[in-house]
Amino acid sequence: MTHEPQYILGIESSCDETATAIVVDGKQVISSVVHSQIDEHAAWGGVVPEIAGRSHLRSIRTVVDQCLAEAKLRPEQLSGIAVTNRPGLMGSLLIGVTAAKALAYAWQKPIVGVHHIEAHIYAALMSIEQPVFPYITLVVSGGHTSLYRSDSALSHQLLGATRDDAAGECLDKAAAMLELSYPGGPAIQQAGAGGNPKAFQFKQPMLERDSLDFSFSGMKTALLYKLRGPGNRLTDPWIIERKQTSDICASFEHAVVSTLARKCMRACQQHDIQQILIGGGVACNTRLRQVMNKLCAEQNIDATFAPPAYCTDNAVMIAGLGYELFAAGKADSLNLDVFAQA
Amino acid sequence: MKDFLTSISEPFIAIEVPSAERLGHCAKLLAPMLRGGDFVGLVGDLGAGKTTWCRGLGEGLNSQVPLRSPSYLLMHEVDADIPILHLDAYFEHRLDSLLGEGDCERFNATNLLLVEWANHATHWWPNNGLYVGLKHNSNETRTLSIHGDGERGAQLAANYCKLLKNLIPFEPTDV
Repeated sequence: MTHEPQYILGIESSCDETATAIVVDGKQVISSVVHSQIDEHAAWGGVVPEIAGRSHLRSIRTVVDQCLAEAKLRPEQLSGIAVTNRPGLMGSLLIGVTAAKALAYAWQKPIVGVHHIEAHIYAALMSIEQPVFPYITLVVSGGHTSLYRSDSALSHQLLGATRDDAAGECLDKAAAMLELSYPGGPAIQQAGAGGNPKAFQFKQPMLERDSLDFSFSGMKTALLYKLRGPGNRLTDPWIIERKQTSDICASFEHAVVSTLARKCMRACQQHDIQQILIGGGVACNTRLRQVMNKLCAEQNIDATFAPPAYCTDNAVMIAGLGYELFAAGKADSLNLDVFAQA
Repeated sequence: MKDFLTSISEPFIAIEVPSAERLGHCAKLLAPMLRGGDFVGLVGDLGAGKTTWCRGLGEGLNSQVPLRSPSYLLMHEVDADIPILHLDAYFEHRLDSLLGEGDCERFNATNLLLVEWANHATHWWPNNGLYVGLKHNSNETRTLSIHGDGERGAQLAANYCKLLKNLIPFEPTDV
């Protein structure tokens, strides 16, 4: 029997990116469109739900049309539609899911709801020719910091998660303290580029001996104390000079990413697994890649990062995982619901 | 910060708590006194222990998942003995946008409204509830103060203080 190529349209609108993509058989990307709203939210220090919802509504049709045009496909050539339905901002999720349902109904195509975090894992899996499971998987972004054991593209067991702030959120809050811009991750990376990562010591919380959970709020508080200087009095101006800003950014970033990397190593040891997948917005971070690759080389572990373009929110990973879900017979009906938390 | 809390009420109690672990334990004690429709607001600087306190309260209420920082999504809805709406009000405009979209309809008599940075976006909060103040002392210790707004707030604050007083002096934290 010859295999009919499956063209899956992916739609993503869970937070502040309106994205569409068409992926063939879960592997080959033939078009990908991302409309980022980041400039619309930057002034507010984070995503503003109502602005996000309205912006998704304005761009959803355009990004669908653009995606089909780039792929040079007609709707009838599509095999199915995959859409993020959890977790995320309710008002934002609803725009993508409602659009997907309308298109599925109009074009008479099957629809499937996709878990956003599992899709971030799939983004890393896509760059591996023939995945051999299991993997230890780290998903790290503004809203999530979680470790999984992945036994297939569709089966992920949660091993640990942050007990307080997500890693990206921690970087956002640190950037705010340092009066850097939003989002904090890239701002701190840039400000710390020439800095000495060993200039300041930040204790890396590893929690209990066996724990695979994370905790970043103590690190954030430690930064606050460093900025306040001796005696814990808020000095004005803050003690940090420009040169020190780059050192403190480098040191703080180093502490955050080292914690992430060391937990991955711990998970590998506990589960006797020698390969790691890393996805999510913070997976773009250069220092995380450096530290992770160094530790992995020492311990003979393979680390695969999602390609930078598919670390931040995108629809390629949604179409990709959607393909796997359709193949496993997991299509949804037009009653597909949305969930803020998964 | 102090001005906001004293405008709610004079502190019913102000105690020094020696560690994050003990802070969580203090929060847990409040759990049995709460009922659906109650409001609990946290006020304190970045890193003062607001989320730590909330996580302790969540444990006391047998929350289905541990409470985490709601800063990113602004609001977490967590199943527990009393369903918890856990909010971060730091960015008032962002919260206004979320609640203005209709999410404020979920403030009702079945949920506990648990708000970090409750001195922000105050127009959303009921005039009846408990306020918890947290202040940095040293790197480890925090001053915890309890304030009551309205009749229900004063009742909760008074009862909660009785239990907190029993904790003093704090037993040394195990290492």
